Amino acid sequence: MGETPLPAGILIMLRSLAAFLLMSTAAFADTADGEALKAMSWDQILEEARGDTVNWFMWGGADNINQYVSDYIGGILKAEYDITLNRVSIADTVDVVNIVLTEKEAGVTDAGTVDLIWINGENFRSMKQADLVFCGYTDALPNNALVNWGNPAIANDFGVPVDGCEVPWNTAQFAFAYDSALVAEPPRSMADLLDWIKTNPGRFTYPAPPDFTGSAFVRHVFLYAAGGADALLGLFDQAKFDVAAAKTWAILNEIEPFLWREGQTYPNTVVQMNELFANGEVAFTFNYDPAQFGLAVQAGTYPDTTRSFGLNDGTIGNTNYTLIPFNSPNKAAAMVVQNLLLSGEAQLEKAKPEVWGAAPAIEISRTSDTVQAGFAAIEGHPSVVPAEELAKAALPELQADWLTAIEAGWRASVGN
Amino acid sequence: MTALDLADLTKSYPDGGAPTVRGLSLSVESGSLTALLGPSGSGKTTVLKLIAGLLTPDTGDIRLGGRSIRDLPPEGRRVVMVFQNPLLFPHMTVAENVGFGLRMRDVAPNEVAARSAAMLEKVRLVGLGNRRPVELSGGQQQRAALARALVLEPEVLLLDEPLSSLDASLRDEMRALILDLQRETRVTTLVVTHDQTEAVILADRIALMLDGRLVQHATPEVIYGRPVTLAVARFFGGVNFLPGRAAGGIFHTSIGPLVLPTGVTDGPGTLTIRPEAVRLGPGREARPARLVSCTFLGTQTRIELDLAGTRLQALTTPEALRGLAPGQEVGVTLPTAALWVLPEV
Amino acid sequence: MRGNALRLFAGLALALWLVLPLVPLAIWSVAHGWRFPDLLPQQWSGNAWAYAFSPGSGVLESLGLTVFIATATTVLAALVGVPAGRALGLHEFRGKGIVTLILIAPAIVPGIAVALGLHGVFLRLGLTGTVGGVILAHLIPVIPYMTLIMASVFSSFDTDVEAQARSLGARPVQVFIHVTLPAILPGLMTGALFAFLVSWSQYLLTLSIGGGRVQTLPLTLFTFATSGRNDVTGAIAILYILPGVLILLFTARHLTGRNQSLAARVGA
Repeated sequence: MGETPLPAGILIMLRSLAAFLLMSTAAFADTADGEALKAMSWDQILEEARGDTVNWFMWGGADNINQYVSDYIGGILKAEYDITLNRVSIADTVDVVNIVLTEKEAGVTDAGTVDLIWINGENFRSMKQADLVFCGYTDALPNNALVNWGNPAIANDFGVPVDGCEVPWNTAQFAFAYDSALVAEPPRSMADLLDWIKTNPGRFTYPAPPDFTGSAFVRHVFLYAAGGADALLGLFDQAKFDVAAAKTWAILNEIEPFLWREGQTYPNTVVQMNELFANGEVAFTFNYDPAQFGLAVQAGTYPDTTRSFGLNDGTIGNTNYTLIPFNSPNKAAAMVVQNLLLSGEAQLEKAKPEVWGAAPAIEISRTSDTVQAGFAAIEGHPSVVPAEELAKAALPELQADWLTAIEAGWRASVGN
Repeated sequence: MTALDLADLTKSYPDGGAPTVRGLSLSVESGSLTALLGPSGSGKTTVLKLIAGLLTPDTGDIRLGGRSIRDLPPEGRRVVMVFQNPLLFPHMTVAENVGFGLRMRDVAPNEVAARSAAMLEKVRLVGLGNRRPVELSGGQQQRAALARALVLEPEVLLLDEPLSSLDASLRDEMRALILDLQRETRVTTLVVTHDQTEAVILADRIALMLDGRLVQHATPEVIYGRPVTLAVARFFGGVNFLPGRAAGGIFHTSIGPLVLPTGVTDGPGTLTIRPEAVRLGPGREARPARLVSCTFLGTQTRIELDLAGTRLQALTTPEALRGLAPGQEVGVTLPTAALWVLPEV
Repeated sequence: MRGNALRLFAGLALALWLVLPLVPLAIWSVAHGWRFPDLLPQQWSGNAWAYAFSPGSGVLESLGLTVFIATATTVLAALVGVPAGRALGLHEFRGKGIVTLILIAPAIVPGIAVALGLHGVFLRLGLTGTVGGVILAHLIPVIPYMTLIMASVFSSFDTDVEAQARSLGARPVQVFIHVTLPAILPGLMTGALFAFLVSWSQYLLTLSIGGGRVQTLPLTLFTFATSGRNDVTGAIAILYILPGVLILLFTARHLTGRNQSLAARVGA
């Protein structure tokens, strides 16, 4: 007995596993050859893209943004271009960079997993340095004409030249939020804010760098300590850095005892700080994208009395982009998605506060009259400080080397 | 008529040891009850599994009613084996257990029910059909296992030590049941046992196995009185062995010459006599002996005798020993008809 | 009587222990903001559930995919684990200790190491980003559990009962269905429960092998949990936990059912 059924069972199991392996082998690439695409007309590209599926990897932590992408953008893509949009939710964009990187190391050059990424400056820099990006095609997108590439804040992403490697999607400018029911008159400049912290102990904190948002706050203090951004533009300068850094660490160490929990500990992420703000434990939160304040109020996370503001000495502005990895097998379709995202209609839709409230990355003046009228008709969310008002005092983003030095210095001198 | 015919069966297990069954040939009469007797480890259970098809022989053939069943799967043999443990399926009721084989053969449900019920009645388990096996006593489980096999009306029933797991009190009952059912159904039955008493009581014929070989296949009386080897004689409780030489119908031993029954070839050999055949008291053929010891066994007494320096054992009744005590002289007769000479020394 | 009361108490304790942690999640899922130090939310809203059930959110799709992957993983693990556990549990053979060690290894090596090592191999095989690849990856931590549980089941299994069934006229398939399967079923259910839940809760392997394209519920949940959306997180978390609790309750009843009915009968 016992001797016969065993091998038979294993055999059946191996056979079914083998069948599974064969079934699930990835599909072959069709528009992986980016150079061939660049030689095509837009109509040819549209034709190539038909019937394809675009795997768009993006941070998925906001239901409004997810719905805008899946329903609005995905709906138009299906109906007008016969393209299926597969929104892939991720918690951290760096995971996607790693996927593309391991694929390159494994020699996967035309059958990558990722077709499109919503990306920020730091990850763009690593991908560009590692040659993981499809470049030099953006001129082929008809709606590229709506983008003002003459604006250095668009032509550079965290100080790294874009070079036709990514397409702008949103612009954003750093802003602070507070509950107007609790704080009657918020401080309007960095100096006032620092004073406010000292007179209101335990009511302020910032996420510990390298958290994206916490790092940005520290840069604002750094620019304030340096007496403005003008001297710090361009390549990293150790001498200039040392002077400004010494002052910055002095300021941050001075306010530390007046921070939440007496500065013994800092939130690790902006999400933790947001939670503290939502629970009224701290009086302020801040974000690169002020639209987030409006979304949080709509979700009930923040009180309706939430208001936001910029600083008189300026806040850092920033653009975020979408990018096609070098090994995307669906580049044509991914380009069609990028072109649609840039369209006046799509940019207008996401600018609506009930949809997202994100500031456009295109020049509104270059859009159709209807779209222009639409933008004019938008009534901003009361909790979101209007982009035009923030733009009155804007600070440029420092190059990435400065950023790294500031984050390292903070760890050594403040957050130890 | 021969029902089951085993021809030169050999079976080795993969551990590389000596074959468990070696060149075994055995013919079993249709409707008979044969005991496959042997000490533990003699390969009896292996023979049953070969017949049942649960093992495949290395060499040899198995024929049922003249046709080879060697290459048939167990379920195609019309041979059913009942294991030493009842092995009732615990998730089924007793009735479901009994109907199992019929259900596997796609017999109609109402027929399964009727035949199972009838069989339960025969093994005296009426009213217990809806119980689970764990709710039965050991004897009841054994009976249910027997019913589960008999309900299939097999041509050959193989029982592996059917009584060994039962208490002494239940053993008689079960033995009687097996005999009754066998007589009633006339199913050719092969019972494996290591207990010679049991074999003698149960079986028409005994097939004795020693070390994987069949050494004798005969009626219990023949095996008792005329064992073919010393080993057989010893296995059946033989204790009196007198080496010597046969010549012209006389066997010369240390206690003197003994007249043999006819048909013994001349030459060296061993004379044996069953202890119960040794007679005490004066007589024409009586030889003087000294009574060495008496052991009272209940209905019988075992005594040890000294015949001119040679020890013999005898079984006798307490009455025959009245007035005798160890150390006293007594006459001993070894009847010619009870003498048996083995051609070994 | 006392046994019944004890069982009732144990059942209640189990239910509380399972359900209590879900209460805040359930409240969050219908809260329109729930700020410290309010005992209950000031405003209620069905938005989180509406979002979770909207086609664009992909949450239901994720739920379906997670069920499919966990089920397929369980079935495949059983196909491997039952024969392998049988071999381990019934037979003594040279190198059994090493085989057992190799089997346990994936369960004791940190998941991150397995995930990293596996990713490169699966990438070359073209299995990354596919549901099949993710199922295969899940099998790595799941098969050891299944095999070891089945090995312990078979170690107390008497194969003579199968031989007996054969002799009574059952074909090998019938023996498996009518005799072997019922005998190993409680163990198999335990193994399947483990397998299902281990696959159900995989995050790292799914992320690494699925590359984000195989979006199971833990991935979706994590995305929202890390972005501070407690309402949506609560709704997804309940969807995520519910099948596990249901399976556990079902299996617990099934696993103890036989003993209970037996106890009842013996007591009566």
